[in-house]
Amino acid sequence: MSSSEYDTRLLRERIADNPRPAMLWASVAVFLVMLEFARLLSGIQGVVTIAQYLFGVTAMIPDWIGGNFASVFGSFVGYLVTDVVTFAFLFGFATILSLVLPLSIADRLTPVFEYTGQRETRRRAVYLERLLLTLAIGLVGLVVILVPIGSLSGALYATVVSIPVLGALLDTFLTQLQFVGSNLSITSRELIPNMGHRTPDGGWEGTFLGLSPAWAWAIRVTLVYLYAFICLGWIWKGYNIYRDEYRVADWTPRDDTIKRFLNHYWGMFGFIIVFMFVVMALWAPAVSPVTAQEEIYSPWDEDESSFTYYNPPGDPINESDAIEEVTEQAGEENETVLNGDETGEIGEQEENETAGEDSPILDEDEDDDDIFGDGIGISNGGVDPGIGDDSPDPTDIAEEETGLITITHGQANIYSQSTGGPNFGPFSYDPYDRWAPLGTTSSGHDMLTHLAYGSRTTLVIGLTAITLGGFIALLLSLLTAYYKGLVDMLTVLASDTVISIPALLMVMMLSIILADHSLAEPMDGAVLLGLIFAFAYWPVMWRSIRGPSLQVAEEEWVDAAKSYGQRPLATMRKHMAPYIAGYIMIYASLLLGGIIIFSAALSFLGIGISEPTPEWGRLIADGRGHISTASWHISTVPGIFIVLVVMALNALGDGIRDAIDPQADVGEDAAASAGGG
Amino acid sequence: MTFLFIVLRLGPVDPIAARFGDAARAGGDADRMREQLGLNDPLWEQYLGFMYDLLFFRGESWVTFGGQSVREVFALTAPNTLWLGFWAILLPLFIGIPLGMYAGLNPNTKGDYFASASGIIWLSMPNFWLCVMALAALRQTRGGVWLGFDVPNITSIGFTFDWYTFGPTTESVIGNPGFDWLSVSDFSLHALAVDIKLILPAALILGSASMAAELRISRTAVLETINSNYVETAKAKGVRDRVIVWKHVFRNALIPLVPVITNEAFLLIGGSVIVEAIFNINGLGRAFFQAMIEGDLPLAGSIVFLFTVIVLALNIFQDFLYTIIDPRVGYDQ
Repeated sequence: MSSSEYDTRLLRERIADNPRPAMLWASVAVFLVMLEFARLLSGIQGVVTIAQYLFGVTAMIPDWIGGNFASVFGSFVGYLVTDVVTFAFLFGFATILSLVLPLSIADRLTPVFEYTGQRETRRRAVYLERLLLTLAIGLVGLVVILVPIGSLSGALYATVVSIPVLGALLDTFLTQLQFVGSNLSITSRELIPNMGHRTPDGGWEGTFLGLSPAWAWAIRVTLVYLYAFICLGWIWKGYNIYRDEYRVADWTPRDDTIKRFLNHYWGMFGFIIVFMFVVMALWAPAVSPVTAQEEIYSPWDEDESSFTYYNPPGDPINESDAIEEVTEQAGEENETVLNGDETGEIGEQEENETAGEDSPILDEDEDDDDIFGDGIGISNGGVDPGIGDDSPDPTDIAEEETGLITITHGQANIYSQSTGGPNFGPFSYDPYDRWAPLGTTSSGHDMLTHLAYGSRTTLVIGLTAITLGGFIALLLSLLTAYYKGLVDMLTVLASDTVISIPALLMVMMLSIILADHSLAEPMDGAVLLGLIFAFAYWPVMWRSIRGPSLQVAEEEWVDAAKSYGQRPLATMRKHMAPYIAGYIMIYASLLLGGIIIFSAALSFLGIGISEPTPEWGRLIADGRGHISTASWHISTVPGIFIVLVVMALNALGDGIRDAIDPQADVGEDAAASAGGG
Repeated sequence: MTFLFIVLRLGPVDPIAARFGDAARAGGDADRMREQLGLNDPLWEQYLGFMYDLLFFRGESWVTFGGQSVREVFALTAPNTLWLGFWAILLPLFIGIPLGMYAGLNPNTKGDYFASASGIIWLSMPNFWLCVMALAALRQTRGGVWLGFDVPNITSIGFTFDWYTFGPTTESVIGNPGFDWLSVSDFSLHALAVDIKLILPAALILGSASMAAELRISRTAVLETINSNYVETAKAKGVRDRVIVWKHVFRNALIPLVPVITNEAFLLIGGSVIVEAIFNINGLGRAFFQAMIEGDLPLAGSIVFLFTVIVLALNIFQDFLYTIIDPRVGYDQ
């Protein structure tokens, strides 16, 4: 990109020559970013947290390996190994850092080396730079922690300690920024709230513009998708501006690839659905009517997850015959749930509830006893919440109370369970006027909250597995295609070992066995599952891109690069990888579908991802018992989501395949393996 | 196999805890049990023993089937899985390939679009979800569900469908095949029908993914061969369409299907765990699932090893099939 035969100016210089289109594009892009500034910041915070965790894990590795050696060969060897591994880690870190750092010593050093007339100047300069960086990091670490110089691992610890410090600094910085930009999110729940309560005159208070929660929610979700698609369009626009104004070549083969993809309707369909899925995952707090924090992680926290609903002071029950009928059927079930599962948690609430049958507290409404027994009634003040859409006629209300009651989501969830009898299906309000676009689950949670946050889980698993597995596969395919021989044979052996064990069995086995490992903590096992999938699937991907990479290795330009004395790694990166990356993408999108199905299947069976992290498969398992009742939606809706996303991923894979290489005969096998589970 | 040992024995799953419960990890019973199972032996001895047991299927189920030998467990569960696998391979073959061939012979027609689209959707459906849906749907039919449509005031077309009484009457949607019909003395068609009916929904779902794959691939294969020169030549010679389809198109289209069909075994093995767990079929997959959860090391290892052997054998069988279908492929290059 930066240089070519015709025009050796850098992109920066080319933009400086003709700044207008780039400036226009950038200003709008900045505006778009500003619109969602708060959300972006919280996203960055999330990334920082993940980075801190990763560093923590990495820091444990040298000691762990060293410890293993120490237990076998004695402590001296152990220390030695620890130090060597630490040094290797630091060197790798320095290598990455030197690629990221804006200013490079190597660039300055190269002319110096050239001047002194040494050979392979650039390479030496680069390595020198990395070595210097390694030493610098190590020294900084040593100085910070002041450990005895004998153990280098202390240095790594120091680095790792200093990184969280950096992270914490960054955190405070971000919080400051967030303070400034807290209102800078057009899709925030604060700007368009959907948790409101009814007012006595039939309107709504606390929701966006006084609309009903359903509309407020719909507007917010529409806004999210509008914003996402505008951003996507703007990125596409930016690419076009680059192509028209700044790219040196008028045409590249990639233009044709993109054109083919745009004309591939099936592939485009897949792309759009996948994009919407990703948006749902990224904007999960905005898409879900109730956030996961309030609903799933701390439903009983009075500070964090309480909300207000309007309880009409009259007697709503007599008005709502329809509800009465439904609730009567469910009486027994609900009672058992109350007395059994939730006993410990609801405490006082539950006491009142079981007393409902005998009604010592609620005797003011004698004729309502059976209703309270059904578990719909809530003893808070002895009155029942307004149920569903059947709000009482406002004129009947002559009470002097406001009727506003504050309750936690946890309490409310008990009475909004969809268990066949009491059922809050798609597009309905629960008894507390909480809008449930896709109904509630059998534990009373909002379905869409689970789905939206579950898509996050799915995305984390899929991306971890595919990026890691794809990276391993790409690296190995380059190495084996370039060197062949022994490397190839060893890789074949390793991949055959993994492949010969059926994937699902192996994933199941590993996820059960590693269930107590510390890696299983983040996201209740989602990250671990991603790693396991990466381990199980790299041989498949490696196998499928082996053909193309062997072909590329035979090409004349690779030979030419070799004979020019280019370093093998550079040859692989510049002249081989771009051709293989496309094939990796095909298999990645096909395998991603399989991974989504498998991880859902695992959590359906109760392994893999444990509660409370929401997962699609567990929703299906939850709703299994209620599928032939009125609460059929609990299992059905997540299933439809899975089908849609997997289908879209398959379509996307087809599209990419046809775009990259219309003649290619790849993808069928992977598609077949994606379907299992 | 070594991998299996490392994962199973050195992993954190404790068979004693699985058998006695977490609390009894240190009691006297637990110690005796440990001794009996050989968990106190040196690691290398355990390793050798494990390998030996694995290779010859001599192990003993520690927990799941308390004390039974692995062979007994296999004898108990393998027939169910085989029966399931048999139908799960057969059904897709006889549904997927004809549909794919039809779509390939009539490309870009409504029928083609319908077959292709339903194949793609079918492929994307998770098996476990299909199982749940199918069970719910079939259970709904108890007592009879009327399928059909009314033509107002004139007539109604349709029939009452009850899965329980459809064909041979069964008590439950799920269950294990009894294999009563296998006995030589009195071959009972009814028992056979019952067994088939019990396994049918599970097999159909288990084979769903491969069915869709077969549909897709047979469609492309037929499309490719039908546009090839030799088909054109045959047409020019005046060979009848039926002969062209069966002799020239079908046989050549089978070649790319062979790996798909053998790959099915792969899917079936993975899928059988889920399908058997949901349909309560007492097969190898379910045994594996329980053995895994309960830390039953030898059983789980043996099942995985058995599956691995099956997969390897199928790969060899696949190469063999190639030589039959495609004479150009020979043993000696």
